[in-house]
Amino acid sequence: MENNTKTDQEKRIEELRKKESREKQLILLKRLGLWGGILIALVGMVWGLAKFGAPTSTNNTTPLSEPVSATDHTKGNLASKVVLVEYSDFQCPACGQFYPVVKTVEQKYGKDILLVYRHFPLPSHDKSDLAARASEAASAQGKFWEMHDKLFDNQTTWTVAPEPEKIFADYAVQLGLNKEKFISDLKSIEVENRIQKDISSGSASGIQGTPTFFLNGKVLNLQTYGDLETNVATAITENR
Amino acid sequence: METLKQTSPPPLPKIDKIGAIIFLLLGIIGFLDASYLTIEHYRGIIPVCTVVTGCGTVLISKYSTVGPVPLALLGVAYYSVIIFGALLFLDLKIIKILHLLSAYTFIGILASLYFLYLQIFVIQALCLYCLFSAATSTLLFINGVYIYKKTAL
Repeated sequence: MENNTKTDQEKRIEELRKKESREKQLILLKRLGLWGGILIALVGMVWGLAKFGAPTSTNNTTPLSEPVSATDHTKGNLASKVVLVEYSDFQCPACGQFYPVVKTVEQKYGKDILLVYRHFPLPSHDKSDLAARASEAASAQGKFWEMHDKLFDNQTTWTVAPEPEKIFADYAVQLGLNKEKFISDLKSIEVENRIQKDISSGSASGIQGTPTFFLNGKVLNLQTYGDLETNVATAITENR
Repeated sequence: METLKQTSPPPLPKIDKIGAIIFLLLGIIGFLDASYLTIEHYRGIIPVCTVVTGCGTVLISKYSTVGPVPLALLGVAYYSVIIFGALLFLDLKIIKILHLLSAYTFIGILASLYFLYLQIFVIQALCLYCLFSAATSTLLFINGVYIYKKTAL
């Protein structure tokens, strides 16, 4: 009898021990699941974001719809076979960052290339249409590129100014333009139509953002700032 | 026999557990948001303003980095601590961890207010994902205030 009870007690202890060890295992599994599960989920989701998140570069392959003509704003060598068309927005900071890059290209390859500026003011920029008008109003007095440079050089100033018209008029005076004519041209229908023409050709060329560059009619998908110069240099060599 | 009975730890007060799970979920949302911005920061070598999504004005402004470190990466670090803290509490069930974590959310709301100020008054442009992060930080803070009071030592 005594032996039997002992065995019963031992059995019970053994069962409890087993239960305890099962519980411990379960707790360990839970802990592992908690930490491991969250870690794996996070890594997976970040990987997904990196892989499938919207890329910043555009994948437009539409060729330039409107060939360069006498009405375009051009710089460089008019006889050159290498033509770089930029669709840009004076208020767009990305365009502002590209401005010195394009300047470098102009200084280095100006003799072998024709640079073209076309307007593509984005609706998200409240002052870009007015800035485009300012450049066209300056163009009416033969100083498009001078105003173009002025607008990009001072982009951070006028984009935050409450009354950009006044600033643009000041720029016009600094460039030696007739202020009254400049101000009236700012609102002229001709200026508006001129800008609209560029927007239309840009849309027809499948532009999704600014700046967008077309080299000899083909859109450039740039990965770094240096890519612009590399592409231009290659095109110049090929067309010699 | 006595020791055998005390295998599992005492159950957590329900409110603490819910609070920690909210921390965890919000932390994960914020972490993913900040990770996305960080990825964009490093991937977007060429900034572009697009017709559909507007402009990366905020993300390419000089305020988007502290020295060489993008703010988005600091956001990743901030939310990582939230996730780690919430997990640590759910695992070890030490109330103090939850209490400290609640206090920590104050950093997030302060940073968010400063970034919101920068976006509205200095850069004058808003960034959707940054606003989303501000909202996450605010919710974390609200949860934090509640839990901080509940777990007062």
